[in-house]
Amino acid sequence: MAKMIKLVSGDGAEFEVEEEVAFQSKIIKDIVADADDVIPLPTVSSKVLIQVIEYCRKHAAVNSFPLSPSSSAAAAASSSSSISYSKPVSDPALRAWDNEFVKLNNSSLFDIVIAANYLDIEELVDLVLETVADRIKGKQAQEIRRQFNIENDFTPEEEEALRRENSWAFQNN
Amino acid sequence: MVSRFPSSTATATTASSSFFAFLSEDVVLDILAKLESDPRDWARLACVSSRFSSLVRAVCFRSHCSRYLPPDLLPSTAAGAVAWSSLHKLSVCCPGLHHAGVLLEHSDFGLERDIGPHLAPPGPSFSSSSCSSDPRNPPSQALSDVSCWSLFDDLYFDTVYDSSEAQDVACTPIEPSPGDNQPITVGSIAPNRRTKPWAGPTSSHLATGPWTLSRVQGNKLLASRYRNDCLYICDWPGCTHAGEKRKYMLFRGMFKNFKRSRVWKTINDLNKGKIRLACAFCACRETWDLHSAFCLRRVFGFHDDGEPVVRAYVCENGHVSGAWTETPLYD
Repeated sequence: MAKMIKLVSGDGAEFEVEEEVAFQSKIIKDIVADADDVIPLPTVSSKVLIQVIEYCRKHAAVNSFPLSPSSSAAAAASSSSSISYSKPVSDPALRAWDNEFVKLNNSSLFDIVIAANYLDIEELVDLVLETVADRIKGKQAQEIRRQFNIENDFTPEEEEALRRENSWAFQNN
Repeated sequence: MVSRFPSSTATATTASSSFFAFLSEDVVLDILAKLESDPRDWARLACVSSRFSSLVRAVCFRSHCSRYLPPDLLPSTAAGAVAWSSLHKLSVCCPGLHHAGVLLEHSDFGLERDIGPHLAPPGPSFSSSSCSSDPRNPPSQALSDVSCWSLFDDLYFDTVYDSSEAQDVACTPIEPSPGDNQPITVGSIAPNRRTKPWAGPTSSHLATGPWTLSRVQGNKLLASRYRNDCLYICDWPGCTHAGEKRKYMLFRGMFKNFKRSRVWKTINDLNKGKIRLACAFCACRETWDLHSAFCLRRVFGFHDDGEPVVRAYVCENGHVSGAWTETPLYD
């Protein structure tokens, strides 16, 4: 039977997860090595922890069972070592799952990236930042302000000067 | 990993009020780094707020320029955001037909722009001194009042019609009407006599082609006596715009240390006037025509309709915009 780790959210809810799922977080992996298997996470709410666990579970499952049947050696190696890499996800099915996962509003994304950073889950941090960048691409300044609730703090003169300087960029091909 | 995020929990409601407010600069820069492939995204972000403006200009533009532009052109580390902004634009932005001077009137070989403001005729003797029927050409007598004599005065006198050369031809002098004493607006974009249909934008836009500049291209543009000047021009292939008669291959570039270049000295020695064609890359509202200052290779010449084969304009900061009308004489 797989070893279970207990995670306790900021609002007191407890979540039991398989060790390989929890070890997607470098922080948890380090803590478990030293101490017991109950890990309090006071700065992470249940709602966010559920989402983070869902991500970790999915990525742990894919890492344990790689697509290529010939790489049994690679599978053995990956299950015994810590699973953390910052290179982009190459499995198309997993990428598609990730894209669905981040179909969240900005405030949810924000909560997830804060938690993912706290737990040191590099891939999840990168996924959220990539999603935010995608929400900026191709948009005009006013749309970006609206999307992210950013205040326009320029004086009219500054705004005009910037507009003149950057008007070449306002067309999309 | 060093924490790049606030240690306290930010609530959802706080975050929704401004997503970026609680993110530290290096996290915001990580997001900006993912937008590098399309320079327009950075430029638009610079217009969003002062925080984005300073991050994009001081960090993103600077890293781009350090990567794509020759070290010769990079300003000192103390350079302000505007300097990086200009350089970034030079790297990625095609000047467009307007700033490359393609829309300027050229059938008079650019003389109208270069000769200088129309000087009021001295008096009644005016009517006998010139048979020019073109009210734009200033009378020769008035020109002799001009204290500074430029190369273009020679060129003008070589071409103006002189009534003494054709005594038997009846030549009715044209009296200037009162309205003709208006000064000629020099250097403005002369009204097109032929409307030229242009496909696509005539203003600056994202360049197609590489974002790098090279001195090799610059050397092939300048006359040989300027071989020691460092002019960097964008690598080919670049933007091509189809005109009515011919295609225009637009280019952009910059002189290193323009004020110490021989081109600059020539412009000053000729006391060359600027024309009201703004630079595409900085706030300069006027530029010098390098073609009529004889800074470009003489071999390029003109088309039959008076259009130069290549034209180039330089501003006081050394930014160059221009256009070829034939395949450039290099790879």
